[in-house]
Amino acid sequence: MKLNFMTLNIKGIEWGKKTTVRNSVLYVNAIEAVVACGTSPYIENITLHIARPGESVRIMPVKDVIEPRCKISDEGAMFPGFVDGLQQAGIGTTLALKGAAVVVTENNDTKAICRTGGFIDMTGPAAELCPFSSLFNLVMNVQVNEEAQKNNTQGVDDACKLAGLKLAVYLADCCKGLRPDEAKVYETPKSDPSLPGVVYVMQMLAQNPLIKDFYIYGQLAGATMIPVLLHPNEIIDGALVSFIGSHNTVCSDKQYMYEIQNAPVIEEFYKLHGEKVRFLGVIVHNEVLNLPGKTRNSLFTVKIAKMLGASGAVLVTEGHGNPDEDIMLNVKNFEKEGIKTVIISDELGGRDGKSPGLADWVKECDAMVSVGNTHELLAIPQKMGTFIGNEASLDILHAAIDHQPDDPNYFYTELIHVTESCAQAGLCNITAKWM
Amino acid sequence: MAYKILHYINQFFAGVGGENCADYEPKVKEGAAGPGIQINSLFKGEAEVVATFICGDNYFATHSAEVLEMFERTLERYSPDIVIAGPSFYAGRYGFACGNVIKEAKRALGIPGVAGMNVESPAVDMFRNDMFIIKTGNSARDMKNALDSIVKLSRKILNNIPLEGADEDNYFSRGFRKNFKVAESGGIRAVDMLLKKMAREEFKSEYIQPIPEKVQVAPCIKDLSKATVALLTTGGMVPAGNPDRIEGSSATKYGIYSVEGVDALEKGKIISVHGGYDTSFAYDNPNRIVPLDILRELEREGKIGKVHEYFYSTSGTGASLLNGEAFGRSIAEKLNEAGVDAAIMVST
Repeated sequence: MKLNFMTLNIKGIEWGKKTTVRNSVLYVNAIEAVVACGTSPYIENITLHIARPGESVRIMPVKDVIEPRCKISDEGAMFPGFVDGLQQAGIGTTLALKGAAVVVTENNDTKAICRTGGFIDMTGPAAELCPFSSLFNLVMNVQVNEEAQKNNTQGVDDACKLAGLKLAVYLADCCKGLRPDEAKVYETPKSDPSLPGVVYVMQMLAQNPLIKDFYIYGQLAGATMIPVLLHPNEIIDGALVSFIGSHNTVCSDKQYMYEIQNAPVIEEFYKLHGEKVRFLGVIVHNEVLNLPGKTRNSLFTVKIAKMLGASGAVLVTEGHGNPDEDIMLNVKNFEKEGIKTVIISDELGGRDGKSPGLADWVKECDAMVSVGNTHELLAIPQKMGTFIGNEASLDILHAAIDHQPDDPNYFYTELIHVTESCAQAGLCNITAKWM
Repeated sequence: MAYKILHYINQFFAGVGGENCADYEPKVKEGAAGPGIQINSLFKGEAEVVATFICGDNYFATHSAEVLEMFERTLERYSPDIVIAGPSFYAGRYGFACGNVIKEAKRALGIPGVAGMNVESPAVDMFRNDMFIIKTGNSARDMKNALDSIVKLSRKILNNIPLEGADEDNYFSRGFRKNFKVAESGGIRAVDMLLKKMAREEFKSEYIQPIPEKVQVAPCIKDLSKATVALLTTGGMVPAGNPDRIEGSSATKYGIYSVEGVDALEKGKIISVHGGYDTSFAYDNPNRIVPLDILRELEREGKIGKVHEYFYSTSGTGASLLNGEAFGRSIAEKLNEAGVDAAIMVST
């Protein structure tokens, strides 16, 4: 499978008469862009905002972050089953607006049933740790149908998710004729069979029917599937779609769409393919809630890797608690088959960093990359100049503790709320160390 | 002005003598002695050993309180900025003394201390959580390296230079984790680690956790009709308004709520603050998370003896294991005190 990947590098964002990119600045026609989001009975209104790196802006709750991408070839599909039709993803030519993102938030869930989704500060201490604070963001602020929010939160989530994906495709679509800044090819040609085969295992939360965790080609995957093999190019083209729904999970426990699109492990495996490894594919493993399911899925994931002839695997995860059992079960079963494993996880180390980081551990697990203690406190400003989103969601930011920073303009929050600061697919640059 | 160091050493390193002199009574010597001379030269004037406290290892072990009192007076007299003790390498009693004097300095003056010990020294585990202990070889042959590390770390502490981590600064970790920004993303580090692991090269995991203890299942109840049954949940069920401010995720506490005289939990009165599941059905009928209605039925039918008068609740998502363990132990103790025989734990 061969994917041509074109990039326009974005270094600014402005409103404009025409949505396009000029001199690396993304211009957005706001009216056209809102229209591109489509209509839904669950959405009353959408307003768009610009949030640039360094600006005094806070966005919360962050429901989704998507890199603008579209297909510029006849073949292929972007977000198949959602935006584009059910064609093969991962082939043809993709255009990406690198450095820009669509950020989805909402503004009227006042019943506070929505406690999920973290925040993004575009400046200050949280911005230092958030991979999205350095992007030129087009923020989609959704006013949802209140009646629907009470009775059908999943319908509302679906509508917001689709609108965000459409906006992301629209932005890239408007730049179709432009000369890309960069071009590269993603493929895994046949290579020296003596090189070790590697797989990327994406362990995704799977809690439906109550929660819609992720989709593959438009199909709700979650608890209803068994682990499946995807080509990494399909991931790059959004064959797997994830969303931080109303009842999903706290933000740093979930992989945002942007992180799935830009999974650093996929990028690295591609770089090394044919030189140090053979990149065999991506196994999507669903972290279901019951023990037989966990046992069965681990069996399938390891079997797929074995059939592919893998000697190594990097496993990334979502969530904590019961998903830790999925990691440990997979590690145990992989290692038993002689397939070497490295896991990426954050740690739930407590505010003092003294607690064990995961809910479980097995002796076979000897290689972990830590993306930080997500309970660590961070002093952030009480306010930014501009707030985009739902003020009611800010309440959860305040860590319930008896001491606060000396500067009364700041308060303590936990990193778990700083969107993707402890990104479990390894997008972030932090780690935890013993002190 | 140079920082002031109070240095603690035993009779051997003070040049008094070996084991035969281990009962040597404590003495304070102005300025540096023994390894302190090298410490001074490594600091190049930035800090200086103002006094050396010398004590025989046996004497310390048998007269700890008395020696520590004298040490406190010495601290007051010299008001040092830091205490350096040893290094004591593998020595057990010497290590014990080093740990204790640093603890005393922290207690009396609130000043930091740095010791140096070998991993096999029993004093490491006794004191590592309370102070900096540089990792050393097992004998004085490692003196040069040990003093280098001790001085390097002390310099950082004295000048408030951020530490880089227990491994980087070569001390025994104090049992907690701290976040750091690093050059490469987690994904790049993971692939790098995998390459090394597959090639059977040396690699270093960024985290290893002890295998959690397995809890024995309690024996089953012989006669349920006489048993008092309690309800517990991690579903974040609290009275409306959340009086105890139980967090929706990474909870730091649990709540205890009365169900005395209540037949079933009422919609709107008990709600869920949990941040990790669809709480709408819990809102519609809180009994689905805290099944009081069913339990009351069983109580009326005589199938169970009695429903315990409180339910215990926290949010189970994103919780630290230590908090979870502490909640569990504390709730179990309360249930034991109240004579509860069984508990139904509803997780979400």
